[in-house]
Amino acid sequence: MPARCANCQSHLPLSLAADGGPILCVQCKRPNWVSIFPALHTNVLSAPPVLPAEPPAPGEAACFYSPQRRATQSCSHCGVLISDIWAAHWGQEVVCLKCLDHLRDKGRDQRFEKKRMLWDNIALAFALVPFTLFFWWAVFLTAPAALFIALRFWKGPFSMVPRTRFRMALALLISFLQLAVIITGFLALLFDIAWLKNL
Amino acid sequence: MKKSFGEYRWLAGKGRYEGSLWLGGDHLLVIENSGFIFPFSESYRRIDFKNIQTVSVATTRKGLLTSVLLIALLALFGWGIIDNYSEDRGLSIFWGVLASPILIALLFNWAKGPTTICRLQTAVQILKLKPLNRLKTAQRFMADLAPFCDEHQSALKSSTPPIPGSPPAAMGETLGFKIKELWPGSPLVVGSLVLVMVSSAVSAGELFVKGMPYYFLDALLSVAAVCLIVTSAARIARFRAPGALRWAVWGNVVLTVIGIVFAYGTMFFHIIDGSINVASRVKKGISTELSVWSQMADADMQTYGSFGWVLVCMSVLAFLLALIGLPAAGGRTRTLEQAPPAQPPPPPPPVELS
Repeated sequence: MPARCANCQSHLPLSLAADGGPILCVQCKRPNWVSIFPALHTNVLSAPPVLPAEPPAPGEAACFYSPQRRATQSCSHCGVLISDIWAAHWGQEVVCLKCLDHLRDKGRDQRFEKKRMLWDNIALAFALVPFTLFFWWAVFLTAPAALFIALRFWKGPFSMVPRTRFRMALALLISFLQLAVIITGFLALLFDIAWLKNL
Repeated sequence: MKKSFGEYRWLAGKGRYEGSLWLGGDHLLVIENSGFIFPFSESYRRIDFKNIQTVSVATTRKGLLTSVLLIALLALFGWGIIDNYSEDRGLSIFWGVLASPILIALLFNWAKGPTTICRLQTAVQILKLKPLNRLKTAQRFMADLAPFCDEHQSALKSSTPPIPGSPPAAMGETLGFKIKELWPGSPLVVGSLVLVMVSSAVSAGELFVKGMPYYFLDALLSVAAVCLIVTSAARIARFRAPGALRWAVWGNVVLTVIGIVFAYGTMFFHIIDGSINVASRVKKGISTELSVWSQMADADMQTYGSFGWVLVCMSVLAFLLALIGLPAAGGRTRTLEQAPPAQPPPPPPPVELS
Protein backbone atom coordinates (compact mmCIF):
# COMPACT_ATOMS: atom_id res chain seq x y z
CA MET A 1 0.00 0.00 0.00
CA PRO A 2 1.50 3.35 -0.94
CA ALA A 3 1.88 6.32 1.36
CA ARG A 4 -0.73 8.99 0.78
CA CYS A 5 -0.81 12.76 0.94
CA ALA A 6 -2.30 13.94 4.23
CA ASN A 7 -4.25 16.64 2.44
CA CYS A 8 -5.73 15.06 -0.71
CA GLN A 9 -4.91 11.39 -0.04
CA SER A 10 -3.39 10.81 -3.45
CA HIS A 11 -0.29 8.63 -3.76
CA LEU A 12 2.99 10.19 -2.71
CA PRO A 13 6.13 9.57 -4.75
CA LEU A 14 8.34 8.32 -1.91
CA SER A 15 11.36 8.30 -4.19
CA LEU A 16 11.43 12.07 -3.77
CA ALA A 17 11.88 11.72 -0.02
CA ALA A 18 15.42 10.52 -0.29
CA ASP A 19 16.91 13.73 1.02
CA GLY A 20 14.76 13.56 4.17
CA GLY A 21 12.89 16.76 3.39
CA PRO A 22 9.20 17.23 2.71
CA ILE A 23 7.64 15.48 -0.29
CA LEU A 24 5.63 17.68 -2.61
CA CYS A 25 2.30 16.09 -3.50
CA VAL A 26 1.91 15.96 -7.26
CA GLN A 27 -1.86 16.39 -6.98
CA CYS A 28 -2.39 19.23 -4.49
CA LYS A 29 1.18 20.63 -4.45
CA ARG A 30 1.32 20.65 -0.65
CA PRO A 31 4.53 19.65 1.16
CA ASN A 32 4.19 16.44 3.17
CA TRP A 33 6.39 15.28 6.01
CA VAL A 34 6.11 11.50 6.14
CA SER A 35 7.31 8.92 8.68
CA ILE A 36 7.50 5.56 6.94
CA PHE A 37 7.61 2.34 8.93
CA PRO A 38 8.45 -1.22 7.78
CA ALA A 39 4.77 -2.27 7.97
CA LEU A 40 4.19 -0.26 4.79
CA HIS A 41 6.23 -2.77 2.80
CA THR A 42 4.48 -5.90 4.00
CA ASN A 43 2.16 -7.52 1.53
CA VAL A 44 -1.16 -6.25 2.79
CA LEU A 45 -2.89 -6.78 -0.52
CA SER A 46 -2.97 -10.51 -0.21
CA ALA A 47 -6.11 -11.94 1.36
CA PRO A 48 -5.79 -13.39 4.85
CA PRO A 49 -4.70 -17.01 4.74
CA VAL A 50 -7.51 -19.48 4.74
CA LEU A 51 -7.22 -21.46 7.92
CA PRO A 52 -7.49 -25.17 7.21
CA ALA A 53 -10.30 -27.00 8.90
CA GLU A 54 -8.53 -29.03 11.50
CA PRO A 55 -10.92 -31.44 13.15
CA PRO A 56 -9.79 -32.36 16.63
CA ALA A 57 -8.13 -35.72 16.93
CA PRO A 58 -9.56 -38.16 19.47
CA GLY A 59 -8.70 -36.86 22.91
CA GLU A 60 -8.03 -33.31 21.68
CA ALA A 61 -10.17 -30.34 22.73
CA ALA A 62 -12.63 -28.89 20.23
CA CYS A 63 -13.38 -25.22 19.71
CA PHE A 64 -16.33 -24.08 21.80
CA TYR A 65 -17.87 -22.12 18.92
CA SER A 66 -16.83 -24.30 15.96
CA PRO A 67 -16.71 -27.87 17.22
CA GLN A 68 -15.33 -29.09 13.91
CA ARG A 69 -12.11 -27.19 14.62
CA ARG A 70 -9.33 -28.00 17.01
CA ALA A 71 -9.02 -25.66 20.00
CA THR A 72 -5.65 -23.99 20.08
CA GLN A 73 -6.07 -21.26 22.69
CA SER A 74 -8.28 -20.24 25.53
CA CYS A 75 -10.03 -16.91 25.99
CA SER A 76 -8.33 -14.94 28.72
CA HIS A 77 -11.67 -13.52 29.86
CA CYS A 78 -14.28 -16.28 29.77
CA GLY A 79 -11.83 -19.17 29.63
CA VAL A 80 -13.48 -21.17 26.84
CA LEU A 81 -11.28 -23.11 24.45
CA ILE A 82 -11.26 -21.57 21.01
CA SER A 83 -9.76 -22.17 17.59
CA ASP A 84 -7.69 -19.61 15.72
CA ILE A 85 -10.62 -18.19 13.76
CA TRP A 86 -12.45 -17.29 16.98
CA ALA A 87 -9.43 -15.72 18.63
CA ALA A 88 -8.64 -12.00 18.62
CA HIS A 89 -5.31 -10.67 19.81
CA TRP A 90 -5.86 -7.56 21.89
CA GLY A 91 -2.51 -6.26 23.04
CA GLN A 92 -0.94 -9.10 24.99
CA GLU A 93 -4.24 -10.92 25.52
CA VAL A 94 -6.19 -13.43 23.48
CA VAL A 95 -9.95 -13.10 23.71
CA CYS A 96 -12.79 -14.83 21.93
CA LEU A 97 -14.79 -12.64 19.55
CA LYS A 98 -17.90 -12.73 21.72
CA CYS A 99 -15.94 -11.53 24.75
CA LEU A 100 -14.33 -8.83 22.65
CA ASP A 101 -17.71 -7.59 21.48
CA HIS A 102 -19.08 -7.70 25.02
CA LEU A 103 -16.07 -5.94 26.52
CA ARG A 104 -16.14 -3.20 23.89
CA ASP A 105 -19.88 -2.59 24.18
CA LYS A 106 -20.36 -2.80 27.92
CA GLY A 107 -17.03 -1.15 28.62
CA ARG A 108 -16.33 -3.09 31.72
CA ASP A 109 -12.62 -3.02 31.14
CA GLN A 110 -10.86 0.26 30.39
CA ARG A 111 -8.49 -1.46 27.97
CA PHE A 112 -11.39 -2.47 25.70
CA GLU A 113 -13.72 0.49 26.03
CA LYS A 114 -14.68 2.28 22.84
CA LYS A 115 -16.87 5.18 24.04
CA ARG A 116 -17.76 7.17 27.14
CA MET A 117 -20.28 9.91 27.72
CA LEU A 118 -18.87 12.99 29.45
CA TRP A 119 -21.74 13.57 31.86
CA ASP A 120 -19.95 16.38 33.67
CA ASN A 121 -19.74 18.39 30.45
CA ILE A 122 -23.36 17.58 29.59
CA ALA A 123 -24.53 18.75 33.02
CA LEU A 124 -22.48 21.93 32.74
CA ALA A 125 -23.82 22.63 29.23
CA PHE A 126 -27.39 22.25 30.51
CA ALA A 127 -26.62 24.59 33.37
CA LEU A 128 -25.12 27.23 31.07
CA VAL A 129 -27.71 27.12 28.26
CA PRO A 130 -30.04 29.68 29.92
CA PHE A 131 -27.21 32.23 30.00
CA THR A 132 -27.20 32.40 26.21
CA LEU A 133 -29.20 35.19 24.66
CA PHE A 134 -31.83 33.15 22.85
CA PHE A 135 -32.45 30.25 25.22
CA TRP A 136 -32.97 31.92 28.60
CA TRP A 137 -36.55 30.59 28.63
CA ALA A 138 -35.22 27.01 28.63
CA VAL A 139 -34.14 27.37 32.24
CA PHE A 140 -37.34 25.63 33.40
CA LEU A 141 -36.18 22.48 31.62
CA THR A 142 -32.41 22.71 31.73
CA ALA A 143 -31.97 23.51 35.43
CA PRO A 144 -33.75 20.34 36.66
CA ALA A 145 -32.01 18.32 33.93
CA ALA A 146 -28.57 19.61 34.95
CA LEU A 147 -29.31 18.95 38.62
CA PHE A 148 -30.51 15.42 37.87
CA ILE A 149 -27.48 14.58 35.71
CA ALA A 150 -25.05 16.04 38.23
CA LEU A 151 -26.54 14.01 41.08
CA ARG A 152 -27.08 10.82 39.07
CA PHE A 153 -23.56 10.73 37.63
CA TRP A 154 -21.69 12.32 40.52
CA LYS A 155 -19.58 9.20 40.89
CA GLY A 156 -18.88 8.90 37.18
CA PRO A 157 -17.91 7.46 34.85
CA PHE A 158 -15.96 10.46 33.62
CA SER A 159 -13.40 10.73 30.87
CA MET A 160 -10.81 7.96 30.61
CA VAL A 161 -8.21 10.65 31.29
CA PRO A 162 -8.60 11.27 35.02
CA ARG A 163 -9.95 14.69 35.97
CA THR A 164 -11.55 16.44 38.93
CA ARG A 165 -15.26 16.84 39.66
CA PHE A 166 -14.99 20.61 39.19
CA ARG A 167 -17.36 20.70 36.19
CA MET A 168 -19.91 18.54 37.95
CA ALA A 169 -19.75 20.68 41.12
CA LEU A 170 -20.09 23.86 39.06
CA ALA A 171 -23.09 22.44 37.18
CA LEU A 172 -24.65 21.42 40.49
CA LEU A 173 -24.13 24.86 41.99
CA ILE A 174 -25.44 26.79 38.97
CA SER A 175 -28.50 24.57 38.47
CA PHE A 176 -29.26 24.70 42.19
CA LEU A 177 -29.15 28.51 42.15
CA GLN A 178 -31.32 28.61 39.01
CA LEU A 179 -33.91 26.33 40.61
CA ALA A 180 -33.81 28.40 43.78
CA VAL A 181 -34.55 31.55 41.79
CA ILE A 182 -37.36 29.85 39.85
CA ILE A 183 -39.00 28.45 42.99
CA THR A 184 -38.67 31.76 44.84
CA GLY A 185 -40.20 33.58 41.87
CA PHE A 186 -43.12 31.15 41.68
CA LEU A 187 -43.75 31.34 45.40
CA ALA A 188 -43.65 35.14 45.35
CA LEU A 189 -46.09 35.19 42.44
CA LEU A 190 -48.35 32.67 44.13
CA PHE A 191 -48.44 34.55 47.42
CA ASP A 192 -49.03 37.84 45.65
CA ILE A 193 -52.02 36.38 43.84
CA ALA A 194 -53.40 34.88 47.05
CA TRP A 195 -52.93 38.16 48.81
CA LEU A 196 -54.66 40.01 45.98
CA LYS A 197 -57.55 37.56 46.09
CA ASN A 198 -57.95 38.13 49.82
CA LEU A 199 -58.31 41.81 49.16
CA MET B 1 -4.87 18.10 32.19
CA LYS B 2 -2.85 15.14 33.37
CA LYS B 3 0.26 14.18 31.47
CA SER B 4 0.02 10.48 32.26
CA PHE B 5 -2.40 7.91 33.61
CA GLY B 6 -2.16 4.15 33.89
CA GLU B 7 0.19 2.95 31.20
CA TYR B 8 -0.41 6.02 29.02
CA ARG B 9 1.78 9.04 28.44
CA TRP B 10 0.39 12.24 26.90
CA LEU B 11 1.59 13.09 23.40
CA ALA B 12 -0.64 15.81 21.94
CA GLY B 13 -4.03 17.48 22.18
CA LYS B 14 -5.64 19.36 25.02
CA GLY B 15 -8.74 17.15 25.07
CA ARG B 16 -11.19 19.85 24.11
CA TYR B 17 -12.70 19.61 20.63
CA GLU B 18 -9.89 17.90 18.83
CA GLY B 19 -9.31 15.09 21.36
CA SER B 20 -5.91 13.86 22.42
CA LEU B 21 -3.21 11.29 21.69
CA TRP B 22 -1.64 9.00 24.28
CA LEU B 23 1.30 6.65 24.09
CA GLY B 24 0.53 3.21 25.55
CA GLY B 25 2.74 0.18 26.14
CA ASP B 26 2.21 -1.35 22.71
CA HIS B 27 -0.30 0.98 21.09
CA LEU B 28 -1.28 4.54 20.42
CA LEU B 29 -4.52 5.63 22.08
CA VAL B 30 -6.49 8.14 20.00
CA ILE B 31 -9.23 9.90 21.96
CA GLU B 32 -11.77 11.59 19.70
CA ASN B 33 -14.29 14.02 21.14
CA SER B 34 -17.68 14.91 19.78
CA GLY B 35 -20.19 17.46 20.93
CA PHE B 36 -21.19 21.06 20.53
CA ILE B 37 -19.02 23.73 22.20
CA PHE B 38 -18.40 21.21 24.99
CA PRO B 39 -17.32 17.66 24.15
CA PHE B 40 -20.17 15.38 25.19
CA SER B 41 -18.61 12.02 24.47
CA GLU B 42 -15.24 10.42 23.88
CA SER B 43 -14.43 7.60 21.46
CA TYR B 44 -11.31 5.53 21.86
CA ARG B 45 -9.20 4.00 19.14
CA ARG B 46 -6.18 1.87 19.88
CA ILE B 47 -3.64 1.55 17.08
CA ASP B 48 -0.96 -1.07 17.64
CA PHE B 49 2.53 0.22 16.92
CA LYS B 50 3.19 -2.87 14.81
CA ASN B 51 0.37 -1.91 12.42
CA ILE B 52 1.29 1.71 11.77
CA GLN B 53 2.54 2.10 8.21
CA THR B 54 2.99 5.85 7.82
CA VAL B 55 2.28 9.12 9.54
CA SER B 56 2.01 12.00 7.10
CA VAL B 57 1.62 15.69 7.76
CA ALA B 58 0.73 18.37 5.21
CA THR B 59 0.40 22.09 5.72
CA THR B 60 -3.00 23.75 5.23
CA ARG B 61 -4.20 27.29 4.63
CA LYS B 62 -6.42 27.42 7.71
CA GLY B 63 -3.89 29.48 9.64
CA LEU B 64 -3.52 31.93 6.78
CA LEU B 65 -7.29 32.28 6.46
CA THR B 66 -7.63 32.81 10.20
CA SER B 67 -4.95 35.51 10.06
CA VAL B 68 -6.72 37.25 7.16
CA LEU B 69 -10.05 37.20 9.02
CA LEU B 70 -8.48 38.47 12.24
CA ILE B 71 -6.62 41.23 10.39
CA ALA B 72 -9.87 42.25 8.67
CA LEU B 73 -11.63 42.43 12.04
CA LEU B 74 -8.70 44.37 13.50
CA ALA B 75 -8.90 46.81 10.61
CA LEU B 76 -12.63 47.24 11.24
CA PHE B 77 -12.12 47.90 14.95
CA GLY B 78 -9.08 50.06 14.20
CA TRP B 79 -11.30 52.16 11.96
CA GLY B 80 -13.73 52.47 14.88
CA ILE B 81 -10.91 53.60 17.17
CA ILE B 82 -9.55 56.21 14.74
CA ASP B 83 -12.96 57.42 13.60
CA ASN B 84 -14.18 58.12 17.13
CA TYR B 85 -10.89 59.18 18.71
CA SER B 86 -11.45 62.94 18.41
CA GLU B 87 -15.25 62.99 18.90
CA ASP B 88 -16.02 60.28 21.42
CA ARG B 89 -13.03 59.03 23.41
CA GLY B 90 -15.19 56.54 25.35
CA LEU B 91 -16.40 54.83 22.18
CA SER B 92 -12.86 54.75 20.90
CA ILE B 93 -11.74 52.95 24.08
CA PHE B 94 -14.67 50.55 23.70
CA TRP B 95 -13.48 49.62 20.20
CA GLY B 96 -9.96 49.25 21.58
CA VAL B 97 -11.17 46.83 24.26
CA LEU B 98 -12.95 44.80 21.58
CA ALA B 99 -9.86 44.80 19.37
CA SER B 100 -7.37 43.68 22.04
CA PRO B 101 -8.46 39.99 22.29
CA ILE B 102 -8.41 39.80 18.50
CA LEU B 103 -4.87 41.15 18.46
CA ILE B 104 -3.87 38.57 21.08
CA ALA B 105 -5.53 35.81 19.03
CA LEU B 106 -3.65 36.97 15.92
CA LEU B 107 -0.29 36.97 17.71
CA PHE B 108 -1.10 33.57 19.22
CA ASN B 109 -1.97 32.22 15.76
CA TRP B 110 1.35 33.44 14.37
CA ALA B 111 3.33 32.11 17.32
CA LYS B 112 1.86 28.61 16.96
CA GLY B 113 3.17 28.32 13.41
CA PRO B 114 1.66 26.87 10.23
CA THR B 115 -1.51 24.79 10.46
CA THR B 116 -1.41 21.20 9.33
CA ILE B 117 -3.47 18.12 8.68
CA CYS B 118 -2.10 14.80 9.84
CA ARG B 119 -3.10 11.27 8.90
CA LEU B 120 -2.00 7.95 10.26
CA GLN B 121 -2.12 5.02 7.89
CA THR B 122 -2.48 1.32 8.65
CA ALA B 123 -3.31 -1.54 6.32
CA VAL B 124 -7.05 -1.09 6.85
CA GLN B 125 -7.60 2.58 7.64
CA ILE B 126 -6.41 6.13 7.21
CA LEU B 127 -7.09 8.00 10.41
CA LYS B 128 -7.08 11.77 10.71
CA LEU B 129 -5.26 12.86 13.86
CA LYS B 130 -7.13 16.03 14.77
CA PRO B 131 -4.90 17.16 17.65
CA LEU B 132 -1.95 17.52 15.29
CA ASN B 133 -3.12 20.76 13.72
CA ARG B 134 0.18 22.64 13.94
CA LEU B 135 3.45 21.74 12.27
CA LYS B 136 5.54 21.96 15.46
CA THR B 137 3.18 19.65 17.38
CA ALA B 138 2.99 17.19 14.50
CA GLN B 139 6.75 16.98 14.07
CA ARG B 140 7.25 16.48 17.81
CA PHE B 141 4.62 13.73 17.75
CA MET B 142 6.32 12.00 14.82
CA ALA B 143 9.67 12.13 16.59
CA ASP B 144 8.11 10.65 19.76
CA LEU B 145 6.23 7.90 17.94
CA ALA B 146 8.95 6.73 15.55
CA PRO B 147 11.15 4.83 18.06
CA PHE B 148 8.18 2.82 19.35
CA CYS B 149 7.01 1.84 15.87
CA ASP B 150 10.53 0.92 14.83
CA GLU B 151 10.95 -1.20 17.93
CA HIS B 152 7.68 -3.10 17.43
CA GLN B 153 8.33 -3.57 13.71
CA SER B 154 11.95 -4.62 13.99
CA ALA B 155 11.01 -8.18 12.98
CA LEU B 156 9.34 -6.90 9.80
CA LYS B 157 12.35 -4.78 8.97
CA SER B 158 14.66 -7.79 8.90
CA SER B 159 12.33 -10.38 7.37
CA THR B 160 10.22 -8.67 4.72
CA PRO B 161 11.92 -6.93 1.87
CA PRO B 162 10.03 -4.13 0.18
CA ILE B 163 7.63 -5.35 -2.47
CA PRO B 164 8.56 -3.86 -5.80
CA GLY B 165 5.84 -1.88 -7.50
CA SER B 166 3.06 -0.20 -5.65
CA PRO B 167 -0.34 -1.85 -5.34
CA PRO B 168 -3.13 -0.65 -7.58
CA ALA B 169 -4.86 2.61 -6.75
CA ALA B 170 -8.12 0.78 -6.21
CA MET B 171 -6.78 -0.54 -2.91
CA GLY B 172 -8.16 2.40 -0.95
CA GLU B 173 -11.53 2.11 -2.54
CA THR B 174 -11.79 -1.61 -1.89
CA LEU B 175 -11.05 -1.04 1.77
CA GLY B 176 -13.62 1.72 2.01
CA PHE B 177 -11.29 4.68 2.50
CA LYS B 178 -12.78 8.06 1.92
CA ILE B 179 -10.74 9.10 -1.06
CA LYS B 180 -12.52 12.02 -2.60
CA GLU B 181 -13.10 12.10 -6.30
CA LEU B 182 -12.26 15.06 -8.48
CA TRP B 183 -14.98 17.69 -8.79
CA PRO B 184 -17.29 16.59 -11.63
CA GLY B 185 -19.19 19.88 -11.85
CA SER B 186 -22.74 20.58 -10.82
CA PRO B 187 -25.51 22.72 -12.33
CA LEU B 188 -26.85 23.22 -8.79
CA VAL B 189 -23.60 24.87 -7.66
CA VAL B 190 -23.46 26.99 -10.83
CA GLY B 191 -27.05 28.07 -10.24
CA SER B 192 -26.46 28.86 -6.59
CA LEU B 193 -23.38 30.97 -7.38
CA VAL B 194 -25.33 32.89 -10.04
CA LEU B 195 -28.14 33.39 -7.55
CA VAL B 196 -25.64 34.60 -4.94
CA MET B 197 -24.33 37.15 -7.43
CA VAL B 198 -27.84 38.40 -8.19
CA SER B 199 -28.84 38.36 -4.53
CA SER B 200 -25.73 40.23 -3.39
CA ALA B 201 -26.24 42.87 -6.09
CA VAL B 202 -29.86 43.33 -4.98
CA SER B 203 -28.80 43.40 -1.30
CA ALA B 204 -26.22 46.10 -2.00
CA GLY B 205 -28.92 48.18 -3.67
CA GLU B 206 -31.39 47.70 -0.83
CA LEU B 207 -29.84 50.54 1.15
CA PHE B 208 -30.33 52.91 -1.77
CA VAL B 209 -33.84 51.88 -2.81
CA LYS B 210 -36.73 52.39 -0.43
CA GLY B 211 -40.04 50.60 -0.38
CA MET B 212 -41.56 47.29 0.54
CA PRO B 213 -41.53 45.53 -2.89
CA TYR B 214 -37.75 45.84 -3.27
CA TYR B 215 -37.23 44.77 0.34
CA PHE B 216 -39.45 41.73 -0.22
CA LEU B 217 -37.53 40.83 -3.39
CA ASP B 218 -34.23 41.15 -1.51
CA ALA B 219 -35.48 38.94 1.34
CA LEU B 220 -36.79 36.32 -1.10
CA LEU B 221 -33.55 36.17 -3.08
CA SER B 222 -31.45 36.10 0.08
CA VAL B 223 -33.37 33.18 1.57
CA ALA B 224 -33.12 31.25 -1.71
CA ALA B 225 -29.39 32.03 -1.97
CA VAL B 226 -28.75 30.91 1.63
CA CYS B 227 -30.54 27.59 1.07
CA LEU B 228 -28.73 26.92 -2.20
CA ILE B 229 -25.28 27.94 -1.01
CA VAL B 230 -25.54 25.68 2.05
CA THR B 231 -26.64 22.81 -0.23
CA SER B 232 -23.71 23.60 -2.54
CA ALA B 233 -21.30 23.54 0.39
CA ALA B 234 -22.58 20.09 1.33
CA ARG B 235 -22.14 18.98 -2.28
CA ILE B 236 -18.59 20.22 -2.79
CA ALA B 237 -17.53 18.74 0.55
CA ARG B 238 -17.98 15.30 -1.03
CA PHE B 239 -15.46 15.98 -3.79
CA ARG B 240 -11.96 17.28 -4.28
CA ALA B 241 -13.16 20.66 -5.47
CA PRO B 242 -10.82 23.30 -6.95
CA GLY B 243 -9.54 25.93 -4.52
CA ALA B 244 -11.38 28.80 -6.21
CA LEU B 245 -14.69 26.98 -5.92
CA ARG B 246 -14.11 26.08 -2.28
CA TRP B 247 -13.23 29.69 -1.49
CA ALA B 248 -16.32 30.88 -3.35
CA VAL B 249 -18.77 28.55 -1.66
CA TRP B 250 -17.34 28.45 1.86
CA GLY B 251 -16.62 32.18 1.76
CA ASN B 252 -20.25 32.79 0.90
CA VAL B 253 -21.37 30.42 3.67
CA VAL B 254 -19.33 32.45 6.16
CA LEU B 255 -20.72 35.70 4.77
CA THR B 256 -24.21 34.21 5.00
CA VAL B 257 -23.75 33.38 8.68
CA ILE B 258 -22.44 36.90 9.35
CA GLY B 259 -25.36 38.26 7.30
CA ILE B 260 -27.89 36.31 9.38
CA VAL B 261 -26.33 37.65 12.60
CA PHE B 262 -26.44 41.18 11.17
CA ALA B 263 -30.05 40.70 10.04
CA TYR B 264 -31.05 39.67 13.54
CA GLY B 265 -29.07 42.60 14.91
CA THR B 266 -30.76 45.13 12.62
CA MET B 267 -34.17 43.64 13.42
CA PHE B 268 -33.53 44.07 17.14
CA PHE B 269 -32.21 47.56 16.45
CA HIS B 270 -35.40 48.48 14.61
CA ILE B 271 -37.64 46.89 17.24
CA ILE B 272 -35.91 48.80 20.06
CA ASP B 273 -35.72 52.03 18.05
CA GLY B 274 -39.35 51.72 16.95
CA SER B 275 -40.54 50.90 20.46
CA ILE B 276 -38.82 54.00 21.85
CA ASN B 277 -40.44 56.14 19.13
CA VAL B 278 -43.86 54.65 19.77
CA ALA B 279 -43.48 55.13 23.52
CA SER B 280 -42.53 58.79 23.12
CA ARG B 281 -45.45 59.39 20.70
CA VAL B 282 -47.90 57.69 23.05
CA LYS B 283 -46.63 59.93 25.85
CA LYS B 284 -47.39 62.93 23.69
CA GLY B 285 -50.86 61.54 22.97
CA ILE B 286 -50.24 60.83 19.29
CA SER B 287 -51.82 57.62 18.12
CA THR B 288 -49.28 55.45 16.35
CA GLU B 289 -48.30 51.83 15.71
CA LEU B 290 -45.02 49.99 15.53
CA SER B 291 -44.17 48.73 12.06
CA VAL B 292 -40.76 47.14 12.08
CA TRP B 293 -40.95 45.80 8.53
CA SER B 294 -41.70 49.12 6.90
CA GLN B 295 -38.95 50.70 8.99
CA MET B 296 -36.48 48.08 7.79
CA ALA B 297 -37.64 48.46 4.21
CA ASP B 298 -37.19 52.23 4.34
CA ALA B 299 -33.80 52.10 6.07
CA ASP B 300 -31.03 53.73 4.06
CA MET B 301 -27.40 54.75 4.39
CA GLN B 302 -28.41 57.56 6.72
CA THR B 303 -30.09 55.11 9.08
CA TYR B 304 -27.09 52.82 9.39
CA GLY B 305 -24.31 55.38 8.95
CA SER B 306 -20.88 53.85 8.39
CA PHE B 307 -22.26 50.41 9.20
CA GLY B 308 -24.18 50.62 5.93
CA TRP B 309 -20.89 50.62 4.05
CA VAL B 310 -19.88 47.43 5.88
CA LEU B 311 -23.06 45.79 4.54
CA VAL B 312 -22.32 47.07 1.04
CA CYS B 313 -18.73 45.77 1.26
CA MET B 314 -20.04 42.36 2.35
CA SER B 315 -22.36 42.24 -0.63
CA VAL B 316 -19.53 43.19 -2.99
CA LEU B 317 -17.28 40.53 -1.42
CA ALA B 318 -20.00 37.89 -1.83
CA PHE B 319 -20.43 38.91 -5.47
CA LEU B 320 -16.68 38.72 -6.18
CA LEU B 321 -16.29 35.37 -4.42
CA ALA B 322 -19.14 33.91 -6.44
CA LEU B 323 -17.60 35.33 -9.61
CA ILE B 324 -14.23 33.73 -8.84
CA GLY B 325 -15.78 30.33 -8.22
CA LEU B 326 -18.16 30.31 -11.15
CA PRO B 327 -15.75 29.06 -13.88
CA ALA B 328 -14.74 26.08 -11.73
CA ALA B 329 -18.28 25.21 -10.64
CA GLY B 330 -19.18 23.59 -13.93
CA GLY B 331 -16.28 21.16 -13.65
CA ARG B 332 -13.55 20.46 -16.07
CA THR B 333 -14.59 18.78 -19.25
CA ARG B 334 -11.71 16.52 -19.93
CA THR B 335 -11.49 15.52 -23.53
CA LEU B 336 -9.15 12.63 -23.58
CA GLU B 337 -7.80 12.19 -27.02
CA GLN B 338 -7.97 8.58 -27.95
CA ALA B 339 -4.68 7.13 -29.00
CA PRO B 340 -4.70 5.69 -32.52
CA PRO B 341 -4.85 1.92 -32.58
CA ALA B 342 -1.45 0.33 -32.49
CA GLN B 343 -0.10 -0.63 -35.89
CA PRO B 344 1.21 -4.11 -36.38
CA PRO B 345 4.99 -4.22 -36.54
CA PRO B 346 6.40 -4.01 -40.07
CA PRO B 347 7.13 -7.36 -41.58
CA PRO B 348 10.81 -8.31 -41.49
CA PRO B 349 12.67 -7.81 -44.73
CA PRO B 350 12.93 -10.95 -46.79
CA VAL B 351 16.08 -12.84 -46.15
CA GLU B 352 17.97 -13.43 -49.26
CA LEU B 353 19.45 -16.85 -49.44
CA SER B 354 22.46 -17.01 -51.51
